[in-house]
Amino acid sequence: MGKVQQAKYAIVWEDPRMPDDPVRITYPDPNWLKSQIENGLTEEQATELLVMKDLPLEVWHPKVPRNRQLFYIIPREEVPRDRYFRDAWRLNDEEAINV
Amino acid sequence: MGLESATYVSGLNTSNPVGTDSKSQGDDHLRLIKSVLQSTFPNASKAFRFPTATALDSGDSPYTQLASEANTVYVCDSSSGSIEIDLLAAATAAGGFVFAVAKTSGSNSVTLDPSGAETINGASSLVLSADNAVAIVYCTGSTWYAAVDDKGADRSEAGDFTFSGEVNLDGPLALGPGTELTISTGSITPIGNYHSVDTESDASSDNLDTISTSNIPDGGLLLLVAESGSRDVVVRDNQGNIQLNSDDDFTLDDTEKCIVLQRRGSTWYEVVRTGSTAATQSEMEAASSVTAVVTPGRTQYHPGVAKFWIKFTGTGTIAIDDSHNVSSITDNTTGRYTVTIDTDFSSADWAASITARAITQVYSTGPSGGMLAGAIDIQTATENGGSIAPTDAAEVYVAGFGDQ
Repeated sequence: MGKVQQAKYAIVWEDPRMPDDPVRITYPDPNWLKSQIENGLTEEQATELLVMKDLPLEVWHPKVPRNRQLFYIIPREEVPRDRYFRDAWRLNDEEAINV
Repeated sequence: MGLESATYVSGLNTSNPVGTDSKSQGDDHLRLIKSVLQSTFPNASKAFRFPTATALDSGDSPYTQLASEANTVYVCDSSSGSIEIDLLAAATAAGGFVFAVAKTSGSNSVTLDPSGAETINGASSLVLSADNAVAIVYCTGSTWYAAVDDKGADRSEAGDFTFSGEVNLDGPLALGPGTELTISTGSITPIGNYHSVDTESDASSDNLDTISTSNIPDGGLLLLVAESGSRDVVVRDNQGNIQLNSDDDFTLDDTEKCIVLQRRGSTWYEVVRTGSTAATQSEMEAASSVTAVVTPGRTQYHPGVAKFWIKFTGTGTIAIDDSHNVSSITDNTTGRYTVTIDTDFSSADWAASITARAITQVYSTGPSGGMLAGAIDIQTATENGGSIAPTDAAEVYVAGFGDQ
């Protein structure tokens, strides 16, 4: 416990059940991440595990039909810090966030 | 002329006299030998006997000591029966008569019996009991004394010892005697520091209320264990002269359990008890046991304990400052976050405590509009002129309570 090291990655995704919502950004909990790494996973593997654990099936399950990828794992520093237009953020096809 | 000069036997030269010496010089050699003998054995006023060993067994008993047995070691095999050695009259043995006794069996005894009313170490006889016991006995001319080691390999010793200095043990320390004490009308009488305890008449359960202090000194420790795992000995608090920690009775119902008490005056106070079992999940959830031990891996099952908590920064790039049992946080949009729990609640019926800094309104629902077992949706907003606007919160604090 105490001061924690933030995760290197964030998961940006859209919820097809609510298509009008802006992009969502999920951050792994550093303590959870630490326990996964202690159990032998890399941070990248743990982040992929988190997709399956915390994101809706409709976003990532390969058997759910969709016409484009609905999530990307990106470096944390690529998430915009300016949240002025946060409600307008969208996912684009270049694995980035359209502000 | 080969005539050496010598005072003691060691100074004699066995090469002298040489063959070429005159026979008339022989008297000089004879005088030299006499002089050396008297110098070497100045008090040789009686026969001297070199040490020898005499084997005795019960078939030789009673054995009458002989005047010729000075410096004898009696090796006594008492395995088939006791052996008695009748000592010489002290005046016959005379002062300086020394002998030894070695006992080579743990069975039976070896008794040294002085003549008539004479004594050995002030007693009418000396008895050796232990295997490997040894006595070195000497006569003063009127009585007998002996240096005795009757402990053999067993160094146990009866009687009391008081040490004023440090006691440093390089080897293990074992408490004794470890014998069973049976409760009699609620009481036991220990004779040592370590006993097992059983119920009266092997009853399925019995109360232990009083422990006698007659044999244990003030400050002494007493370790009690269960004699049987199928019978319960309930050590009761404050029913007799036993004071237990937290006023809780302690049941010795398993041979692995024990309790350590210390005598202070007429009362026995609990020092520590072992064998307490770790609380199970159901015991933690029942929150009623006052004897089970809480362990770190099950603390979260107590209904009064938060099952998860998190403090996070809700502005800029969302950051988790610290947490417990949280796997992720999701930034949904302005002033709206989802906290996902690592190990879920057992149902959606749990309570959340949510606060946020510099925010006038906080809402929470499950991500789909209702409570979930594994996540909570949080909305933060500010009220301005009667309208409520979603607003990012600088700091958000969430904790959840319920069944897991």
